[in-house]
Formats: sequence, structure tokens, C-alpha cells
Amino acid sequence: MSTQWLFVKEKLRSFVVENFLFGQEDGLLGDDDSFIDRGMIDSTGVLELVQFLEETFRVEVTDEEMVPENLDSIFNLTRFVCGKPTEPGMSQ
Amino acid sequence: MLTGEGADEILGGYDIFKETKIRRFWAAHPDSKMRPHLLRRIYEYLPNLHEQSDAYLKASFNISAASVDSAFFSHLPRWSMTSRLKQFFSDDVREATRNHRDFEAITERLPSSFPNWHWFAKAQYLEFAYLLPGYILSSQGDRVAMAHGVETRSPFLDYRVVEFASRLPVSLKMKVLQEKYLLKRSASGLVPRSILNRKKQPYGAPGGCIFFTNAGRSWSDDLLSETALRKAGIFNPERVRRLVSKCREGHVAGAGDSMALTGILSTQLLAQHCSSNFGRRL
Repeated sequence: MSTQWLFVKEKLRSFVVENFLFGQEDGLLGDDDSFIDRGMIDSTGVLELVQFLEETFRVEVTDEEMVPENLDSIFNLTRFVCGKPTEPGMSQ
Repeated sequence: MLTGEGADEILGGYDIFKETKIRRFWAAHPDSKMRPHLLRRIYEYLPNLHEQSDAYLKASFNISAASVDSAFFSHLPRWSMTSRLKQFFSDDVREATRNHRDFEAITERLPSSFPNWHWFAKAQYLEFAYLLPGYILSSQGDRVAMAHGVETRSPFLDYRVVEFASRLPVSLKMKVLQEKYLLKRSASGLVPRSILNRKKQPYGAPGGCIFFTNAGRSWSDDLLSETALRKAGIFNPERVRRLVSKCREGHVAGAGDSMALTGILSTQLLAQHCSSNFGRRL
């Protein structure tokens, strides 16, 4: 597992816990847990996620990419972000 | 003053009836690419919804065969969104309500023949029994009107009108996706055509963020302070603090967050006015 993978995953996890669980993780959110199935996310939540990805990792998310396979768990998000070409100056 | 309260419930005016019809239609062919567009069409006024892929729409509108069988199919999307508010409860409240099953509690109160009703009648009943009395008639209607010395009368709630409407076939209430079909037909010639053909547009309260304008903050800060939250004992101060800062920073604040914030503020206001020990007496 690369350093980049772990870095991205931790950033994503802290955003998700802060924004959708309001800090209350209880150690129960697994990397593969679906945000939809856990009732954590609504239609605006998806947009919040996309905004976060674009601002934090400087990746571009197209309409076609806004699907659960890319966005609906910590694992899916990490895989999606790490598979994207990033623009120069990605925030650290 | 005469008001139209009850007409949407008994004669089929609400978007939730259209929504339910479309969700059933979509659930019959869940892989259809065209059917989800009908939802986008009835919710033209909800921009966030238009940016959703079909997969997310399907999840947030509970499009599945299992959901269609639920007695509460019509209200599942709204109720599941609202139930996310429970995450803000304090540990004490969560513990006290751990064994409470909302859906079972309502199921027990439904009329015994409910499972055999037409889906439209089920949706009407849920609106009529659970939203109309406390929310529409009281919070939004009578209390606001009487606070300004206005006494209202609701002719659509005359029991004879309600009984008549209950005997009408569903096709006369909503025809395809035309709301209040019979009422509009009967008013033709009495009411200008522009009004009859006008698309129904719900009015909504501004989002929760208005509480953080300069004017709003002076009292919202107080009600949402850690001291006030601990005193009432209903909500978890740490989680509320995160919600508040999310709204303050003005990140995309969705309906769920707005609803949570408004619910917390209203409850805190009630707690403050009613008792210093409100939470523990619930």
C-alpha cells in the first residue's frame, strides 16, 4: 500500500467522519461500508463530497463519474482519487 | 378568512403523490434510463437533484421491489432523510430510545384494512393523519394566523367534503400526473385559466444558514451554546458544534443539515421556554 494511498484515505476518512457523522465515528465505519446503506448521505452530500475532492485533491469529477462505484465508501473514494491524474500543486 | 387547507390531502395535490407514482413506475423497471427523468421533471425546483446520477437518485428515492411492498413506500425517502437527525441526540436520549422502532409504532396505529388499500389512498392517509393536524393546521396555520388575530376556516375539511372526496376514484384526483384534476375541472370558468394551469410550487422556509446572519446569531449562538445544550440534555454538544460550523462555513448545506439545525434550534427554544429540566422529563 503506497504512502499516497494511505494519505488520501486518511484525508477522506476525516472529511467523511467530520461532515457526515459529525465527528462520531465509534470506530464503526469500515473502509468498505456504503454511505448510502448506512443512511449517511443525501443528494447534497454527494455534491459536498465532489466539492471536497475537487478542492483538496484538485481532481476533476465529471457527471458520469458521480456514481456509487466511485464515491460510496472510503475504499471506492480512495481508489477513485488515486486513479486520477492530479494537477500540479496538489495540496499536501 | 377561508383557507384551502385539506384540499391537497383529500383531492390529490401534493408532489408526494406524483413522486410515489413515478417511483413505483421506475421500480417496475429499475434499469430504465428514461423513468428517472420523470422525477427530475416534477422536481424542477430542486437543483441538487438534477446533478444526481441515476444510481444516487435510485438510492435516495428507495427504488427497489422491497420498498414498494412497504406500507410506507410513499414516505420512505422523506422519513429516512429525517431519521438522520437522530444522530444528534445525546447519549441519554439515544439510550432511552434504543428499543423504539418508529415504523412499528405507526404500523400499530394504522387502520386494520390499510395493507389492502390503493397505494394512493395509503399516501393520502399518511399525509392526512400525521402531517395535517400537528404541522399544517397547527404550526403552519392556526398558530401563525391567530398570532396575528386572523381566524381561519377550512371548507375543504368539512366532513361532508372529506367523505365525498374519499369515495372518488383515484383517477379523478390525479390524472396521469395532473394534480387535483377534479377540483381544477370544477373550477373551470370560475377561476382564470392561468391559475388553473399554474404548476404547483411548494413554498419552503429558507435554509438553516439564515440563523447565522448577524441578526440571527445573537440568539442562535445562545441556544446552541454548549451550556444551553447540556442544560436541556437532548442533543450532543460536540456533534451540534460540528453541524453549526459546517453551516457557518457555508459549505453546500443540504436539506438534511438544514432540517437538523432547524429541529435542534426549535427544540432548544422549546426547552428554554418550558423548563430547565426539559430533556429528562420527555
